[in-house]
Amino acid sequence: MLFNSFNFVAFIIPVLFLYWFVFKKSAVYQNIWLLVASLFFYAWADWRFLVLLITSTLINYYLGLKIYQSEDDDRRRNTFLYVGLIFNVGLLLYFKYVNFFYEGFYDLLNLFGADLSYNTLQILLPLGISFFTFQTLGYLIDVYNEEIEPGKDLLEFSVFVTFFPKILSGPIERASGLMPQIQKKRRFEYDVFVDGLRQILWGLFAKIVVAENCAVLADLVFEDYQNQPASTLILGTFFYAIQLYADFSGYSNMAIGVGKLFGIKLMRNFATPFFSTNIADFWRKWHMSLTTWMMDYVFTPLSFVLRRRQKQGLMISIVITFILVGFWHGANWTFIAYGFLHGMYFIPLVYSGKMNTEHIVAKGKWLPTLKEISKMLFLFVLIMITDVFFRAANVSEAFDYLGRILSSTIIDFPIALINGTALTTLLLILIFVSVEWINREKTHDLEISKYPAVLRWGFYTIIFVLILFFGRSAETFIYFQF
Amino acid sequence: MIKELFIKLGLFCFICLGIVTFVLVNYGGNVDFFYEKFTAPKAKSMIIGDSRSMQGIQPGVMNKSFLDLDIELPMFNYSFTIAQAPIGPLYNKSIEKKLDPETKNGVFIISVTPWMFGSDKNKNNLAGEFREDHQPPHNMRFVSANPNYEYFIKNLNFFHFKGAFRKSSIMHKDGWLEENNLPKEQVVFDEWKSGQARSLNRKINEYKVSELRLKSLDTLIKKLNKHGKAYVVRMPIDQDFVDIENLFYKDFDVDMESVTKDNNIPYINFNNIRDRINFKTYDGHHLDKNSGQHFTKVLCDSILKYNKNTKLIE
Repeated sequence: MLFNSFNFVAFIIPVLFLYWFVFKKSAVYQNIWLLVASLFFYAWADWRFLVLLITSTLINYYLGLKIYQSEDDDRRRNTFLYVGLIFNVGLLLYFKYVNFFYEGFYDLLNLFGADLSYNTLQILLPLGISFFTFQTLGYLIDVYNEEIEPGKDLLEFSVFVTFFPKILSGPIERASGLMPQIQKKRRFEYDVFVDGLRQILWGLFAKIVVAENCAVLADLVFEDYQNQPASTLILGTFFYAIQLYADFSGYSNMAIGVGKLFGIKLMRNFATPFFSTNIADFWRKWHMSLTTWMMDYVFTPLSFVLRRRQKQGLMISIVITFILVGFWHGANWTFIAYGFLHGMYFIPLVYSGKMNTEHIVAKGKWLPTLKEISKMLFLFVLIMITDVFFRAANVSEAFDYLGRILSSTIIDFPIALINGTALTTLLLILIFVSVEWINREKTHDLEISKYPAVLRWGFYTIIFVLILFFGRSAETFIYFQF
Repeated sequence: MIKELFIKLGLFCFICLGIVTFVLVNYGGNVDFFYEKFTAPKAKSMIIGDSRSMQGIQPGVMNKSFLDLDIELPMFNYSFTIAQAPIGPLYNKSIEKKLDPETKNGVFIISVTPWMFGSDKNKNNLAGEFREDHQPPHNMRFVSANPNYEYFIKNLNFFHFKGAFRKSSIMHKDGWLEENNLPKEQVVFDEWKSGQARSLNRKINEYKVSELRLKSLDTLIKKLNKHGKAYVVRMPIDQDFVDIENLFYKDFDVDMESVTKDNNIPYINFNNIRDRINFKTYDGHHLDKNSGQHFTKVLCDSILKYNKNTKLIE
């Protein structure tokens, strides 16, 4: 059940209605109803793994309590934490990565002349596993580190894990942010509700107008890249970079917006990342829930261990963290290369000591300086390069694609992409980027609550018209595969 | 506060609905290939078939030809494409919905192709499995509502709203699809034709002839004959496409002759070698606008001739 489907509309209206009118009496009622709705939502997407989701919830609930109750016995605490880590990482390894290691093992043996053949194991990937597993992993570690108290109420904990707007593709929520909201009764707040609707509208626009139109052009280029001139390949990469962002940020905006309809604020996942002037700033704004997770649970402990190596240790920690960020996306060397490249982009920042300088481009101004523009464009080119790895079927294809960009056909006219669809898409991207630019310092991409009513309503109507006329059907989201 | 929310949400929905309604009412034929088929009132005379008849048989031409006869007009083209409307119980049911039950003297052109009697090999028709299930017109409860919001909601993916600006393909209110989006270069047509041939050759392996669909044709003819006269027509296509169809369904003409003979109606086969007239197709099996106009006149003449011979009309 996609957010951009009539099925979802038919689902959400009665769920919301009952939530605010029938189950409003207490947090318990609200949570029971949210749990029922969430399990139904997940089952609708893929009922076969409902048992897995429930089992994971129960086990993590139990382990969280046990870690907390064993505060005087370090050995027991460690044991319960390790069981939790093994269970959660094991789930991911089994469902997502076992074929990768299995094939890699055989390929390695064959490299030494073993001449072994193998069949890929047929393992279905449960929807949202990377997201809910990271969420529960983070929860256990936080309980272990005594940063939060465990969820003592199974119902509340179950809602924390399964809350349907974020179960399939995040944001990867932290217990410290979500649990307190679930523990208390939600009261209807007009402003929050309307803000949620605004975010949903913008997410829809990003997904079915921007991302889907870019997808048509990117697919055209990537599926036939051997026969395209370098100029077309560059444009194809540009459209893919925008598609990837609009697809995932669109989904996140819709998820966060739906959360707000229930009075629950999920964490922000994107903060106009392309308006960044360096890679560190970009990652502070791109897939923020994953980045902060990785920073807290991988980078920070790792850099602490390697602290004696100073900048070298910091660099190693960053590269390892980003390789894991890449690998989180999927069991493919392309994602590892994607993460590795991003990690390597940090080197100049680490050695120049500018890694932690946060910078809002053109803060308080209408337009950026030329220096800022050139930095943003340079960063965008770097990201386009990594996106080739993200999109390619394998690493050699990605290198082949990039190799073809460095050819004399770079000055050829990109005939394949000079058509009505491409020009319309560029115009839509311009609208998309302009609105994001205007709202870059705000809490989300369409925070226009302070604008005059006429302007707001006019804007909503224009967005609806653009969705109607330029929207394309979308059967899935890129991040559903992760 | 909730009251204010409902009022504002209602107003926004009203604005959106107004925009959608405006587009559907004024540009319905430009923004979707089937939408207008479900806005027209119930029909008294119909053209039934796939994309060949949807583009190639023009109700306007037929209305002129049959104007002076005692036939309940106007004609309505209720053809779809092979994906939506192969002959079968589902299509029959929809035709019945679209047909005006008061009709006594209608004309019903059933355009047939061998593919319309093909079923996916993995679908058991006898168990109620049909590849066209969940597609329009079978997912439609209301087939004569204007504006038709049911179609909009259930088949939103079919819409191409940008068509309101381009106006290249027009689905007329009489159900005829006027295709104005054809390329100028012969090389493109040649590519299309070879692409279509490849696609049909694939179908030979994917499809099997369905006895149930054949029976459904018989049922359909019997039903329509109660409201007038049915004519089974095999539209003209290029000879190499006839050859492909013969590979799939060798006895097609024999079976059509048989079912029409049983129902005492004509089978008008425009691919019959003896009487063959070459109509120009743009991809091997779809007539372009001009050929379609010519063909429709020839078809009307054939019907008139048949009726004179059988003394149905003077």
